[in-house]
This record gives sequence, structure tokens and C-alpha cells, in this order.
Amino acid sequence: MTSWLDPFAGLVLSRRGVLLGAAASAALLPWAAVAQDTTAKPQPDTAEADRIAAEFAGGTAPVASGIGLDLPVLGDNPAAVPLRAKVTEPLSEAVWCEEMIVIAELNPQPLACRFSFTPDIGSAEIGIRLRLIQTMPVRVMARMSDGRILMARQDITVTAGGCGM
Amino acid sequence: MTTTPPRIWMSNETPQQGEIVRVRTQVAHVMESGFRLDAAGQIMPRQMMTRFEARLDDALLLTWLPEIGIAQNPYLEFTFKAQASGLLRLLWVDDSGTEIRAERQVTLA
Amino acid sequence: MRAQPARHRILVVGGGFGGATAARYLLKRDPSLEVTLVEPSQSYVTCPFSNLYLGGLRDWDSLAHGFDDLRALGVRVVHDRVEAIDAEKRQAALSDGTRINWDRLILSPGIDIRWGTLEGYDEAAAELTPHAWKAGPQTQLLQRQLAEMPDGGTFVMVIPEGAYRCPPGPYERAAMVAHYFKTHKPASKILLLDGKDQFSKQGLFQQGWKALYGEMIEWVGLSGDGQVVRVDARAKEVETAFGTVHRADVLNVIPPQQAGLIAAQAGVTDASGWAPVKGGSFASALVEGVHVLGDATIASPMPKSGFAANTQAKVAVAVILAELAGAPIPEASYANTCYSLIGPGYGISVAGVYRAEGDAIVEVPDSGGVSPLDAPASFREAEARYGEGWYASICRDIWGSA
Repeated sequence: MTSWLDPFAGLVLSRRGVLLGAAASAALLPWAAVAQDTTAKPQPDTAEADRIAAEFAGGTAPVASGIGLDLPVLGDNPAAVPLRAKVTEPLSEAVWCEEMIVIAELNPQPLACRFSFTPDIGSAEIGIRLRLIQTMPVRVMARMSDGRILMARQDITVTAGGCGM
Repeated sequence: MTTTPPRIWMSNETPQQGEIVRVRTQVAHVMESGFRLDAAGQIMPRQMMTRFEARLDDALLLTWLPEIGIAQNPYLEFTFKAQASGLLRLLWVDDSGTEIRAERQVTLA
Repeated sequence: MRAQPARHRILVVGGGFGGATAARYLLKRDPSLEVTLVEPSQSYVTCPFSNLYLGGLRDWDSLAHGFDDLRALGVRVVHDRVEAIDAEKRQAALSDGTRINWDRLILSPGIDIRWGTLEGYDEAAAELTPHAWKAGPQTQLLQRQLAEMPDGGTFVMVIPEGAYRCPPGPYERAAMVAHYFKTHKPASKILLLDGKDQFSKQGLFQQGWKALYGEMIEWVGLSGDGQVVRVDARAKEVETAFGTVHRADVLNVIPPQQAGLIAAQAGVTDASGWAPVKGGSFASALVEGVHVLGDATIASPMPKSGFAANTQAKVAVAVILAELAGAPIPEASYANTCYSLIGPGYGISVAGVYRAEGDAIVEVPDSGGVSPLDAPASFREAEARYGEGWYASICRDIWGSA
């Protein structure tokens, strides 16, 4: 993946290295002169994501339901990918969501963020914007106050828009 | 973090008892991951917003701990059930210890 | 006497940059083919350069291209709409009831709007606040609204997050409307509400806007509360995610999009609403015997552009002909240049060269590039001329008329 569209490198039209002679010899600016560099590397596989998920689940087997996950199938702006997640069962003072994590499985650091909720909030619904380094699965996990672990997972294909986007 | 005040939107500042209120927030922050290199090839130091808290008066509702996978100028949307009138108090903290606060009054209809 | 071998039948759906190129190049290379092109419009109006029409720099007729030259070449051009595709039977049904059988199908249906995805923006809304993202009556509607707007009014453009055709298009439109305002209604303002924080050739556009139009164009990005969540077409108002309401005198909503609907009906689109294709041929990744071209495809990192559709068509044709002849499949090579006009004599561009790596498309390293930020006026003038030259050449290449 070229660094110009890598959200961990940023997209900046930089004047670095731009010194052109007469119009006759001027040419299009090569990509290398406008990209910023990064040392961020994607995870080679989901091992680290699985480790984070296992630590969160603490030995309880996750159930692949109970979370409504809204994530585009195609992310053409990897610097800001909208994600919504919501625990869909009714919540009460007896059973509420304690904690929720979002794992962008192949990102350099897969744990994208962590939420803690209190019983006072009365809901467990969030919307955030991720930056994703490449195509990958995204996993959301929630721990309920009765110990259950809920899980949702979806693939997202990350594309460049083309024409410098 | 910049001195630009955070953006806040609430779906209803005078909700009914038990109504789910939706809140959208955004704070200006570079969210520098510590992975990027500048023009001279040096690592740009990590500078991250690391913690967000939402309280109604003193009661904590939600804590958010973003990492580098969160986009620049962190956006957060959440909901809460309106159970009492009070001041919705929002706090952002970055890893330099800088704090930004904002408030919105919630009045049960 | 030997029986004649049956002529291979190729059906092309869509007479735009992808489809018309494919039809022409199929017959140019192999005049023995039976090529049918189905296109609803009597002439095709190009989205490229339609912004120049809005700016008063191009007349309407120059954007419309007829199909007589393709007919003269031997393409059977049918002005109708394909209602259904049966990929198993290799048969298409037109709205007049005709059925067409094919050996190979090329779909180049462009885009369709996702009505209602942006709250308040449905088909009825588009008649009040046009998108003009499919060139034709929508473009003329927008032009009339701009002409009727009093001096001092505000033109508001809503730019979506998510994939849309022609990444630099909205920003060229802003520049062209600014040119029209500067000339005729100089107290007017332009507000761009963008669902993204960055855009194609951003530095160049912002530099050019300022140089030519001063402070007339205001761009609000996602982080600046630019994301619009609701449209009221009747009141010409839009509301952002953070509750800011903007009222427009002329409102142009560029809405969320998907592949032309016939693509979904044919089974070539996936859950994203776009058509995945194999990078070496633009054959559908989902349905045998079908190629998909242009804006309808997932062809990243190639952009959704007319130039790209034209180059993809040529590769698809070369592959289809090789397959029909049992000849070795040639290696795919693609190019794209997006020219944008910021004002008369002020053009910018971005270019890329691509090839296939397995079924993926990749950019060729150290190829292509973008106009420099530091450039003399002569450079910008040259690029404006190159853009004009490109348009004339490609239209001749496709429809046989500049």
C-alpha cells in the first residue's frame, strides 16, 4: 500500500522537494515528494487481535450476537471510517453493559478503543470514526454485568478513491 | 489540544423521563500516533487524546479510552437514558495532562 | 460449401465512456463480431466538462455526443433500457419486450443514486435541489437555478462521505460556479459542506480558488462540522451532524451512490453496492461471461472517471478477443488523468498508471503524479489547454465526434 493513502502517514500536499525550472521542463510532481512517511505496519495476521479479545473475554466464550454493528462494507476514506455499535438487548439496573472494546484486527495496534459504562447511563450505544491501515475484519466485544461476553465482527474493504484520494 | 471549543450536539435538551438522548461530540486533536516521520525522517512525537468522561452532575456515565486507531479530531456519539435533570459534564484529557471541559444542561420535561 | 461459423455476439449495456469505447474497439479489432449497444439516450451528455457549462465556458451542444459514427462502423445501437439480465441463459430483456442473446456481456451502466440514504434526499427532492451528478436535464436544471439566483445569494454544495464518481468533480464545480459568479454576480458566495477532511488535489484547488476568487469559496470539512445529515429540499436547507442549519439560495446535493441498478439486477454487485472485477480483464468477479466497466466497478486505486472507463474498456476488449480466438491473454495496463479547470487558462491535473497484480489493481511505482504547487501561469495555462485537448481527443476516440 502506497504511503500517500495510508492514514497512519497522512495525506499532505507538501512543498518539500518542489523546485521546478522553466515551465518547459516542468512535469507532474512525483508521488514520493508529496507523501509523508510512517513506520506503522499492519499486523501480519489476527493473532494480536485474538489475544486482545481473549484477554477481554477472560475465559468466557463470546456469543456472536447481541451487538448491532454498523460499519461500511467498503471504506473509501480510511482516515475516518464511521462505526456504530449498540448492545441490542434491553438494559436495566440488574443487567447492563460494563465494558465494550473495538478491535481493528490488522491495524498496527489493533485495540482501537475501550468504553466503560455505568448502570446510570441506561444504554450502550456508541459511534466513532476509525482510521484503518488496510482491508481487515473489525470486531466489537461487550461484557455484560452478568458475565456474558457479546461479540460482532465484520470485514471492511479499504480502498483508495483514486485521483489523489 | 487546541483552544477551539469542542462541538456538542444533543438530540433533545428537554427530554421526557426515560427518553434516550443522543449526544454527538467532537474535539480538535491531532491524535499523533508516534509512528509518523517528519520531512527530516525523524519520528513525530506521540501526542494523543487518551481519555473522555461523560457525567451527569457527579454520576459517571461513560469513559472512553481512544488509541491510535481513532481518527484525528476524535468524534464520539453516545446515548444515555434521561432519568433526572442535571448538568451533562464532558471531559477530554490528553497525554500531556491538558484537560478540556464542556457542559450542557439537561432538563426533564 | 462450408457453413459460416456463427458470429460472436457481444452485448454492451451503456453508451458512455466505458460502453461506447468497448463497442467501437470490438468492431475495430474484429469486424466480424455482432456488437449491440443499448443506451437509453439518443445522445450521451458527458459529465466531464459539464462543470464548464455551469461556469459559462462551454455550450450545451458541445457536451452531447451522438451514435451515428458508431452505427457507421457497424454497431447496432438500440435506444432503449435493459430491464433484466439472465446470466445463465445469456439473455437480456429490453423494456420494449425485445430479447437479446449474447456470447459476452459488457455492463457499463454508470451510477445510480441511493435515494433516501441521505435523509430527505429522494427523487422528488432532486427535482427541487438537483444533484447534476448524471449529466443531462439535472445539469440544465442546476444551470437555470444559478442563472435565476440574485446577486449576493449563496450556492451550497453537499459532498458525501463514501464513494462517488469523479473525486475532484465537486471542487471543479465550485471553481466553475465561482467563475460564473465573479463574472455576473460577484457578491455571491459558495459554501461546500464536505463529509471528508481531505479531497483530491486539495492544496492545488485551495491555492487556485484563492488566487482567482479570493474568499468567495468556503470549504467546511468533516472535522469542521461539514457532514450533512438531513436535507429539506423545499426550504433549501441542510442540517449538519452537530445541528447547524444552512440555508441556500441554490442547493446542490451530491448524494450517496451505487452502481447503475442493472448491475445489481445482473448479479455483479456485492454488499457494497458496487461491482467487484478481476484486475487483469475487468471480468466480473461474481458472474461468468460478464465484464463490468467504469464507475460501477470497484477498481481502486483507479478513480471513477471517464478516462478510467475508456482505458478499462480497451483492456476488456483485448481480453475478450483473445479469449474468443484462443490466443494468449495480453497483459493489462491502465492509465488515468483527471484534469480539473479552476478558471479560464488555469488547469490542474493528477495522473496515475496502473497494472494488475493477480486479481487486484495496483499503481505502478514512480508513475503518474500531480501538478506542482509552485508553477508559473504558463504551466496552468498549458494544463487548461491539455484538458481541452484531452476532451476533444477522447470524445473522438469514443463517439467519433469532438
